[in-house]
Amino acid sequence: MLFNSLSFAIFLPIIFFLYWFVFNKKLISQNFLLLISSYFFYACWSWHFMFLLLFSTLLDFYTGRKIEAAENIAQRKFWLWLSIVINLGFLGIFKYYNFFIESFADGLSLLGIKINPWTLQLVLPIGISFYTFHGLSYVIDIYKNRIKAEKNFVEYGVFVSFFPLLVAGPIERATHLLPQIQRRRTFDYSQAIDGMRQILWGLFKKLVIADNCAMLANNIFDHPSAHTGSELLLGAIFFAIQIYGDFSGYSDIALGTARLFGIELLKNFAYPYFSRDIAEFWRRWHISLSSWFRDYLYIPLGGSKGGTWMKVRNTFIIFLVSGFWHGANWTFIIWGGLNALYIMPSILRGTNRNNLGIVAENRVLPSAKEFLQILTTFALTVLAWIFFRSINVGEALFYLSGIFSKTLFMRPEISGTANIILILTGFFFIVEWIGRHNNFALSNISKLPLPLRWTFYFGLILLMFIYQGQAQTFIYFQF
Amino acid sequence: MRKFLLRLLVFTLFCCMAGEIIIRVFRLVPDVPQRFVDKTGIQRYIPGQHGYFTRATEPWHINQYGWLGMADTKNDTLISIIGDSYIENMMNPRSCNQGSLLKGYMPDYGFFEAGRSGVSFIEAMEISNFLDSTIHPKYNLLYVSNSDFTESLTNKKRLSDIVQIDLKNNKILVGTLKSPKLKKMLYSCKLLYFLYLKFPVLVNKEDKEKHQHTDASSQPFEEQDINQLFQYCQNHYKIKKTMLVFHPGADKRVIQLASQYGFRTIILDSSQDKRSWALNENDGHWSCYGHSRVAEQVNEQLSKIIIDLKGE
Repeated sequence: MLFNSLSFAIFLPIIFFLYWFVFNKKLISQNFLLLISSYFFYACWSWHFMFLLLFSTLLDFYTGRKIEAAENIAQRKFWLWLSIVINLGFLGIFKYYNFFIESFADGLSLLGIKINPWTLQLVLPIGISFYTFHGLSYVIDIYKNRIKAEKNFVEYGVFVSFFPLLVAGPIERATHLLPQIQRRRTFDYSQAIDGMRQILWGLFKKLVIADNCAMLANNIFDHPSAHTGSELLLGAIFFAIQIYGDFSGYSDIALGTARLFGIELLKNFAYPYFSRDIAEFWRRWHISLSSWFRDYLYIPLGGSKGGTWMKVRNTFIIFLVSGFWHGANWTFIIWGGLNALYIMPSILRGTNRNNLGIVAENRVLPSAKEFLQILTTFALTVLAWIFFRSINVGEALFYLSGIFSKTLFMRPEISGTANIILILTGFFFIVEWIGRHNNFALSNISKLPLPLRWTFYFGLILLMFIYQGQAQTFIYFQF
Repeated sequence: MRKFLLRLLVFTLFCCMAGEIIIRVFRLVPDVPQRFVDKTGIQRYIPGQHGYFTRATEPWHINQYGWLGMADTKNDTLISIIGDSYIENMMNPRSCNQGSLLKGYMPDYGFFEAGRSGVSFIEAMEISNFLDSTIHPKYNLLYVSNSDFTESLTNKKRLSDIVQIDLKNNKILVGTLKSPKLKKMLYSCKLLYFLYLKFPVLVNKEDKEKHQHTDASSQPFEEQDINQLFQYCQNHYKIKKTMLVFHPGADKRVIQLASQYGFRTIILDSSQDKRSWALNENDGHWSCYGHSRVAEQVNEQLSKIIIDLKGE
């Protein structure tokens, strides 16, 4: 059930109605409805893997309680590692087994030893990377005494499987989400209206921006040899816009949907393409994952406390692991490594926390220096996205060599459709720029008079209907 | 909550009204004419209707006979042009119709266009019979593609809304209009129709299959069935005056069989053309350029056939 599907458009109002009109009297009934509807939502993808989700939830619920009840540190460690090993074990089997076995076979073949690797024909359970990380953060937080173990399975079940975040995040923390699940939600008009606005903006990002850019990017990435350097560069830019529109659009729909149920999820994007350096970009892109790796990997590894070498080592580790989290392919690892390289100068010079505020705060336009910084950061991310988008490293290198050829400065031949998409993308970035001080681009629109506001909403809906691109699955669903 | 639901309702109504206006002003969906089934079982449009195709600059009109396009019945040497939506040609100006273009090449002839979306081969033959008894054309030009033949046969699948033939009983089965009142409502409310086209959840597989013009390689060739079909045509229609104009990519085996049974055939070829005949990437209907190229090829081959026929 995709967020941009008719089935979700039917599912959401039904659950909304039941939640506020039938199951609204008691906390237990609210949570029970959310749990059942979330499992139904997941079962629409795959009812078989619903049992894996249930098992993972039961495991973390049980080990969490065991960690809390343990009488000594050894027992606590045992239950923690049991949860980590089983959770990562499932992730490893479903997502990484084939990659490791094939890479091992490739390595042996370099030494002249040929083996036929025994690979598994498994379908990756949707959302496994996300709900595994939910569960891990929960048991680690209990181990670190940051939270108490949850005693109510329904509440814990909702924390792991709440349908807006189940398949592609944001990766929630028990410290943030569980307290909201533990208290009865009452309807808040402004929260619900804001939620609707965020859903609308998310749908626009996905249907108009991402899906249209996808068509153009796919066309160029599928036939790189048929395009000039300038067209290949344009293809990479289209992909950069696609992945942002796609994933931040998904996140906006997820956050907006959760708000309709009186729940605030973690912010996942904060206008990353307006970043002035790579460090700022990574504070603004997929925030829930970046902060997860910071809290559960970077800091436990020593963070930046152990001197320059430690900082460099830990930065490389989290970027490589982050890349690998996205998929079992060398392209993702290189993408992670490239970003680590990008960020390294600022880490070494200690300037990685220079740009903590909002760009051009209280100004309409950025300064020339800021504009140049934004452009440079965007150009670097675009080059890295080529590895992320390519099927294999060879293809990515071929694509890059195509860009940096004599034809880079030739005028790109683009279709009439591409011109319209460029105009729409321009409009999209203008709205995002205006709204960059806010939680999401449209959240400050409530200050406008109602007729103007409604005309704007209607305009967005109209653009969605007229310029809706060919439906594509959300990119992050594969992770 | 009440305020929220009320706002949502009012906003939805506002969107519906504004949407309806914008769709009508900018012609974002085609106007679809209403049909009726005449005494002979042929589906025609109710005369006098007019409207616009999506983003069209020129309106279409339904003539007194229940079709769109030329109806030059006064000319003594009349050629009828029968076919499906390609001949109906709502999407292009009337000057791009086959009738208008062929008239340019053959000014001495009159042309009568009888095109309707979804016509099968056997229904086209029925239309030719009907025209023979009413306006008496000298020749009938039937524009056909691969799927028109298989769609004519009930033994593959009974398509209840089009004319088909039951080969076992040698019987023509008339089509019926599917939920005409519901369709009228759908086509009248432009927003509803727009949403229906955007989210085609109600379009059944039968309809989808029916409107696809497939190439020869994807169509199974049932020689015995096609033989029987042409046998029936030989016995029930005036095939000597009927010329089949095969769309590009038509199955050569069908063309060969048609010739063996006495049909005159005109074969269209777009393979040598660098420019596409289609309207756009998503719509395979011929553009004005496509129609002009078709008319050019039809004229060339038709002139030869007419000379041949005069010699016989």
